[in-house]
Amino acid sequence: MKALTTELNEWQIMRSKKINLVVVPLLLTACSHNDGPLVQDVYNNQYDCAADWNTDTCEEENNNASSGYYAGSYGSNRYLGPQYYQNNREVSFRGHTLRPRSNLSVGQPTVSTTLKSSSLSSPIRGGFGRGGMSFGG
Amino acid sequence: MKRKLFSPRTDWQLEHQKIGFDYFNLPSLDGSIYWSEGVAYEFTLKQIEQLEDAANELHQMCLAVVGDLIQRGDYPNYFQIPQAAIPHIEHSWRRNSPMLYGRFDFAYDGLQIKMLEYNADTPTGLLEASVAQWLWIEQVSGIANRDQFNSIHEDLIKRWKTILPRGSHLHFAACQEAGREDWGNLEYLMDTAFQAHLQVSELSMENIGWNGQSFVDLNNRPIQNLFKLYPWEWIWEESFAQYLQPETNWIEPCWKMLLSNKAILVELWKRYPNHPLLVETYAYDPEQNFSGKWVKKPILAREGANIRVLQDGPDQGAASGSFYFDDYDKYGYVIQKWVDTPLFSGQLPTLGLWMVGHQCAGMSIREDCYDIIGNDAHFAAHYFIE
Repeated sequence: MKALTTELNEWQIMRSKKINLVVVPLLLTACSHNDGPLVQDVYNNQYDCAADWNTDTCEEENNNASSGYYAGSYGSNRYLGPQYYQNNREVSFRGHTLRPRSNLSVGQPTVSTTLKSSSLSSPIRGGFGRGGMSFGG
Repeated sequence: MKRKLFSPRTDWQLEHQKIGFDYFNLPSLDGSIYWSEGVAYEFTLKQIEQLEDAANELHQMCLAVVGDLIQRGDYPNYFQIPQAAIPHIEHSWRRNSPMLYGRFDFAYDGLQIKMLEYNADTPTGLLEASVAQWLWIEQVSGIANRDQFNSIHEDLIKRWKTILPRGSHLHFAACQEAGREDWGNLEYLMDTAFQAHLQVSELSMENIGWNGQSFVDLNNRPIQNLFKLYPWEWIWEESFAQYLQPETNWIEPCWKMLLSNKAILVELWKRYPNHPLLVETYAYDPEQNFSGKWVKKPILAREGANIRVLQDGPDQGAASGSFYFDDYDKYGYVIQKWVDTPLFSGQLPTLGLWMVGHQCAGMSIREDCYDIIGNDAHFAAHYFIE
């Protein structure tokens, strides 16, 4: 227990410190979407990939790490586009938003298991939160 | 234990504003406001010691029950724990992820204590308990040799120092649409962390980002430590839950999901049957009739929501003072034996015993003319005399 005579220096400090609530507008509507897993488009060649995105964002597929092929593809040099969230087909590249010019990819986008730092997408937001009421107990 | 009346302090509203307690005047249905200036409860030192000991004992009992549940890996269905949460609960417990605070709600008549529940995940009412009522006892006149059971503020600062190394960055988050009371609590806790030499910043839960590697704030800085005034059970229902890693250092830790769930009251009664501090509690079964008077409480609800009265089985309707919120209706219920507490000048007080870390650090009181202490209740200060 604290005696009444306890020095109150600490909360006097607190009293003098003003913390303002920062209200930031939502970039995304809360809980209204799900951007899905991280994926990469698959291309038959580098030319198609670069036509959709940008040469520097395309990479040759590493066959050892790949998990599945579509018919007739075995042995070919396929290319992967940059990583993006499945429901948000765009990436942040050199400070700008890069959207594909078309969709020359083949098959289904491959799901990435590892994020590549060179192709970090802009963070997605709004995956937590619900409106309506206070909840403290 | 007595309910006493005092003359209001001069400029007491201003005193509240100065400490950031700017929600002292939240309106109640009867036209009064949240803070009851001039009302206080008097206790003896012996009573305070009894309450403090009870809270410490109950906290240890709760930890023992959580430890048992995790040891067995067996979580009864009436807890409604999401499968995805279980590895996080177990990991956070086994690595001793530290808790910050919690609040027991007690019924008390001056002699007998009964634990009504444990608000272990998102308790609020903290700033008024910690600072506003301390300021009151400093300033009120007419009470000789008074003292207050309250070292909440100092203990929070000490506790932060044990949780994170000096200079660590700690983010604080609450729901964007939460009321001023919740944000006020969050900012107060942020202030105590600041005084514990942590770097602090706040954002809404909605603004937490995921960059594919980690959760990030609005400056895209990784969130390594997060205090969330936001229920764990909601987190597990939301899309970003898929990105939670067991190593996530969130406060309160995930094992608190077991303590903040009212099903813990069932487990306590099983393990400590007829313990004098406990109230008889069972998982609700609509097929089973219990004789006598009971309250039916949602396992996951706050501020006295959705509480109903049962008498010899049949539902007698909502308990007075309880409001309905459909979000709390989708989980299960417990039934708890009705606790008769005497009224004090027509008011029913519920005592909040604040745990900071694993020690009881203080007490607060909310009172109302209704059976359930909810959003409409009033805060009354307390003091004790030798």
